[in-house]
Amino acid sequence: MAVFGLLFLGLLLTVINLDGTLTTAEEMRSHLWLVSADIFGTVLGILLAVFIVAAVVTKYEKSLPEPHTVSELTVEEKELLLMHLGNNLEGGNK
Amino acid sequence: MTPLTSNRRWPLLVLPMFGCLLVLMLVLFLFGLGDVSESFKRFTNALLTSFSISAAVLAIAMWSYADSRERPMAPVLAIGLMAMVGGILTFSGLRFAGDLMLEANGTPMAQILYNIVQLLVIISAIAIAGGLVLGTAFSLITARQPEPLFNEEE
Repeated sequence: MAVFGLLFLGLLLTVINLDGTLTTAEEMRSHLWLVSADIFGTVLGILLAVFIVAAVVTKYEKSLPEPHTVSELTVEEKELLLMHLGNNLEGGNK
Repeated sequence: MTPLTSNRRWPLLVLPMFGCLLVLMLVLFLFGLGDVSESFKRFTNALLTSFSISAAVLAIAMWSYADSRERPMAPVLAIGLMAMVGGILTFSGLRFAGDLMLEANGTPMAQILYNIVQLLVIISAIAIAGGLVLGTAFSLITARQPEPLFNEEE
């Protein structure tokens, strides 16, 4: 990862400092600046749309009613449950 | 450990990208810029195009959400909010950047087509760069020798 980073940093510093046959270093810097503005606007626009949808979904999810809960098992129900489990699982009544 | 998409870690996904972009812009600024008078127009065009297209895609997704969660007004609210924000962005862009026309594009339709093509190019470039980063990261992770779970008894 560091190798790629250094490689691209080196390429960047080269193209923004050396004049080529087709473009000058200043033109290259201008193009890179304009492309940076493009990328910045693109990412910001996508994030803004995602943020709005996330806000709406969060609002609706918070307004959902609580799921129905059941009361805790009574002692008789627990004993019945243990009995059925013990009868149907391998290993006896434990 | 909290997942990467949790509230506490989401900046980890966004901050490196903006950080690299800001470093690039700072380096360019320090080395000196040429004619960049159209940079705000480019920014506004990119912002409006990406917002419009992603808002349209997400609005379709909101219909599925409304269907599955039985909340029929959710897409209406989302579309209304997105239209309002889009309107504010458009009026602000027109107010501060002017006519938003670039590179001698004569009509708004030509500019819209130009913006969509440019958006496709930028998203392709980001996808390629992201694939490179992910591939490198996974190859580095999987190249490690697995640590033994238990030390053998001597």
